[in-house]
Amino acid sequence: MTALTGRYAAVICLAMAAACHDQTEADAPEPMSESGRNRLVWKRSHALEADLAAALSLPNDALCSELGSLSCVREVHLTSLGGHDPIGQGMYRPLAAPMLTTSLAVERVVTSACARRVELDATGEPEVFDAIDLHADAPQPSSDAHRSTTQTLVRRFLGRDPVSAEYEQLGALVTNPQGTPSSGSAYALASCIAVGTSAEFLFF
Amino acid sequence: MTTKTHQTEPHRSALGRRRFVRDALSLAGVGATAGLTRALPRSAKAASADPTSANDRKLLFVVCAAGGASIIDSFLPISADEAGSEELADTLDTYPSDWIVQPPDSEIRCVRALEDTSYYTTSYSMADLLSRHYRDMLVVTHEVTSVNHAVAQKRAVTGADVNGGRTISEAVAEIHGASLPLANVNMAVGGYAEPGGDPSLPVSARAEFIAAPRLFALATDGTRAISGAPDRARMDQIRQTRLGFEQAGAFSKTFRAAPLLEGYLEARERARGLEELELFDELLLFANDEIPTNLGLSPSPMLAELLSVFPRLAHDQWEQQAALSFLLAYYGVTVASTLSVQAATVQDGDDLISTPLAFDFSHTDHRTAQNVMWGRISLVLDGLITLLKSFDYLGDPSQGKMWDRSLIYVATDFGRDKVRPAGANRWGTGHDLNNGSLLISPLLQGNRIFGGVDPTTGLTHGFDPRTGQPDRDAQQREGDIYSVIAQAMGVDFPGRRDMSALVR
Amino acid sequence: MACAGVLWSATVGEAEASPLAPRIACAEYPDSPLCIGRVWTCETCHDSTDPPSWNPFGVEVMLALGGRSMEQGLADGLGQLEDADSDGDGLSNLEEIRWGTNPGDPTSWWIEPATPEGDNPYYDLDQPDVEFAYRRAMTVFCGYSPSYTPRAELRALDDSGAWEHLHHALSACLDSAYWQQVGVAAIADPLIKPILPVGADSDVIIAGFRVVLGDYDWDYRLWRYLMTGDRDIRELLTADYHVIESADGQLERIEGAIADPVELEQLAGGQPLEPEHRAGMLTTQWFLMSNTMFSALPRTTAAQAYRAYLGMDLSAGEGVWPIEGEPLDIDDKGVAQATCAQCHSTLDPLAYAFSYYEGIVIPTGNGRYRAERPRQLMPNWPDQDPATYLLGQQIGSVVEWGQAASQTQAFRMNMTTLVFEHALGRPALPDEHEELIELADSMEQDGHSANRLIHRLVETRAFAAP
Repeated sequence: MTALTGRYAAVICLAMAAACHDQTEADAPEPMSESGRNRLVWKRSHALEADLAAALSLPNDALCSELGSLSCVREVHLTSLGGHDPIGQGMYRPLAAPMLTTSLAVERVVTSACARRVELDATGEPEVFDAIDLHADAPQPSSDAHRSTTQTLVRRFLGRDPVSAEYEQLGALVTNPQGTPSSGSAYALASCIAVGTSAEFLFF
Repeated sequence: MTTKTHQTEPHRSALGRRRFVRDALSLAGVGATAGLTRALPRSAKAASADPTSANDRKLLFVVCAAGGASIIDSFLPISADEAGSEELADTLDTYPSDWIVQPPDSEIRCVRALEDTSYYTTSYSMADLLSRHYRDMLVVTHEVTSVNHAVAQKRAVTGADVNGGRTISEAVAEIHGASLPLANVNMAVGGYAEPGGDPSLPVSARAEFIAAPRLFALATDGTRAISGAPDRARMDQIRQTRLGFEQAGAFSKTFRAAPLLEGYLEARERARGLEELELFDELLLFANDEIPTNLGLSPSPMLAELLSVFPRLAHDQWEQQAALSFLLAYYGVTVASTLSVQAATVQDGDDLISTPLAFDFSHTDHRTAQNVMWGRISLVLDGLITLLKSFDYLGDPSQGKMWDRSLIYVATDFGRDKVRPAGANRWGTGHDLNNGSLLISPLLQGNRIFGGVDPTTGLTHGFDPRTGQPDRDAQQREGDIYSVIAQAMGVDFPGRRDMSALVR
Repeated sequence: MACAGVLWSATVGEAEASPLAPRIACAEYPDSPLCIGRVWTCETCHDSTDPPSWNPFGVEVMLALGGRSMEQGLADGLGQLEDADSDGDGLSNLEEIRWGTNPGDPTSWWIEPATPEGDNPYYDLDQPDVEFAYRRAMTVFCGYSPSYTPRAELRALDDSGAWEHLHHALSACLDSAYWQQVGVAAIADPLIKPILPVGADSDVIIAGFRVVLGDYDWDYRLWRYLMTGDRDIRELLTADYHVIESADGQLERIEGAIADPVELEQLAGGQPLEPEHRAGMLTTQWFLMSNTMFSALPRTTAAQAYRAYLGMDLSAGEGVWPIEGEPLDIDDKGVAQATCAQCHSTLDPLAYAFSYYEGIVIPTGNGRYRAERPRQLMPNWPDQDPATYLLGQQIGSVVEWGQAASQTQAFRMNMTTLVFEHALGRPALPDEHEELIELADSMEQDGHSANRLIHRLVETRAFAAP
């Protein structure tokens, strides 16, 4: 492992146990060197479910159900999410690559889970969205509350710290499409969906 | 295994990218301007935004009779009195003449629903299918090249690689479905579910695999009926923001050209076009009382029509596959659907209406498996044809009936042994290369048998593909069947065999 | 025409393609990925095998033979063609043979990835990156991704410390319930091919009996047991025991015959085969039932054993290894015809030993050994049993079949490939073949342990290099 500025900054942050985002948000050099190998792996249904549950501190069965009772991940969208059911469906291998409907299935699962997390945090002791008032307006993009929320989501879903441009991008969600301020809960939900359905969460 | 290996997929051209965006926007724009009616569904309107292509579009249904459906136990049966001797009739797979039915004016005959099918129930009679649709039915004899299920199944849909490895569905989807979001869907199993082997196939022609057809509606929208989900405008904003978020991060910058990531991002964009068609309600194969009331959902507006031909829609996945394939065609989303009977036994009340292992139960009880499963195939064929004959394509009378542009190919693995223990009605059979296929379409020379069967051996023989005349020394192969379908569907490729005698 | 098995035709007009050609070619290029643990496939020269047609490389090979037989002229002919680019894809035939791509298929080619230039502060591009590997290892073998804190802790370590940490975490993953019950079982799905309606969970009832023709859970348990815990995976093909699972998920060996559980109103579902006739996964009741079924000569069983455990699919023209004088067409299925014989000269002698094992027997007896079975079912079965051959080696029984197979490079390559493809979700690419072969070769010094194989895998460039 080479000395990687961004990585070690994160370690320092961890050691300091403080919000030291200034040391982690420097954007990568442009142009950044690209992979020539480009061989990613698709995160399949089991890991997707486990990671989503961990990211949002929810039990698996609280993540998403269709028509009130059918598990999104284990039943309805299993194949689309890269799983396979050899016994129930006689499918002995999972799909090699995502399908057209995979992204929609991912959005359904993540949206459902995020909505559940926001609801729980709004009505009880917050587990994820503890830096904002979910009952008030969304925070300003320049606020610590936005930075903290973004950092929490990126750490929870992607296991790393955000770079500065990512804070800026997610800052767009403090307003709704009409340009008026978004509510805190709507902002939290939107940020959660954006990070949780990002490609980095699905490929490794 | 020799791996076909490529460094990366060819980069799509900027023109191709612009064309896709244009198509997606076109679909979205049209879809947003009009309310949904059953006569003219929104998605159908979207598809008809390009009237030229819609006018010429053809529809292919590949109905897979998995396990080895024997043509001499269905639509090319041998009557015992044709075998030449009683002894031969007793040891060949022949049927008493009164078990065989032939409608007036029909060149084709078939085995009727048998009274003794062991513990299983023939839920539909081949004779009913024949009497209703013989004018559009063709029997085409052939000999395949493998008796391994998985290999034979794949060859049945690739024509043994006659078209560079493309399945016939992929080939049809490329020609007729380039602008459609789900041109090619596959609900089948085994070799029928495998993609073809042509790496140059456009992404838009690749099959979308559907494991649970009754639930497929739920995969056509990212947030619909999800409790607490953002509205559409907000979701669009989130998606736009997500794109910016992704592009800002090191992951996307580092792996920008990764084929898996590229493919996913392109599919994700295409999925928005699918979502804009608002198929959620159209495709929902649930009755009102099965849908939670708080989700704001309603059953497919076609549900009554579907139930009239597919009465076990609620619990039989085979009928669900057929219903979904019809809806996807009707709404102008799909041009090629592949469906197949499955290995699982299906119960309908007290009746077992499907044998274990589908047609391959013939190993245990040949005649029962063939009659029960051919009946099951015939039910879906009749239901599909009935619907296709009843409805205008895209709900638009100017497009004509869907059936006028449709072709159904009953694909199977291979035939079965032609002999039986003397006089037996219940025996097991192995796999046999020799067989034939059933094709049904107004695009073909219907009410014909191309080829024939030797009543003293049970073996089929071929024909001259240009004149259609029987030729006892000829045998057609998988590539010939593929070529018939391709020719009828307007799909050309190097090496396509001239099957003019079979095509209208 | 009834060819009761897979069909492979490779006749070349007047000059027939000898099925010996793959072996001759591999004798010339033993280090080619096309030959490590396998032999050339039909696709190397053929576009289609029925009716026969040749790809550009195949055509040039035929011309280079100049009328000589394969035995006389193939080695020389291949040598003449090394510098040519038969399929016009920009790579010479020799380069393609070395990469393992198809010299006759213009869509099969390989160009090495560009070497990354410039800085990337987040990934160690093109070389093993321990954090990248850590995320992959955890996700694949633990079933979840490492969270922020463990990743940060890993970064705080020096390189060797980080790899040590990864292996420690990986060991825990391989001992976890996820891997032992879910992950490793998924690798076996296409090998075992469970079928619900005739398995132990069948709900189909006929005449008061559940239609249980076998219980594939025995197969999964044996697989899971041997693929975990540093056990010797060669026993997949040699075990004379079975495995049970306790309520807390512990897998334990069980010896002796296990009767079919008729008290559950089912006809099968045990492991009644005597231990002396067992060959691990090749002789479970499920394997024999679901592949042999009613066949007198169990070609499908032998072909599946060859495909699943040695990685060679005869129906796809892989692993052709003909035996002189074969096929005997011992069950009168017409396989001696030219179009069938080129494959069946390998397949039939591969299958003879399986003839002693029942497939489905109504009402009971699935998967049992019966010495008189071949003669009872095949009137042409000779007084002196026909010889069974595996990869050219004569063997006397299915037990020997499993023992011989388990010692082959083909078995090691296949098992390595199964694990590799499960981990990365794709086949190895040409620039990964060398690592794949090294991994397979390492099994002999690692006691044929799947766990140790996985520990080596996560350090390869294929797995660990972004």
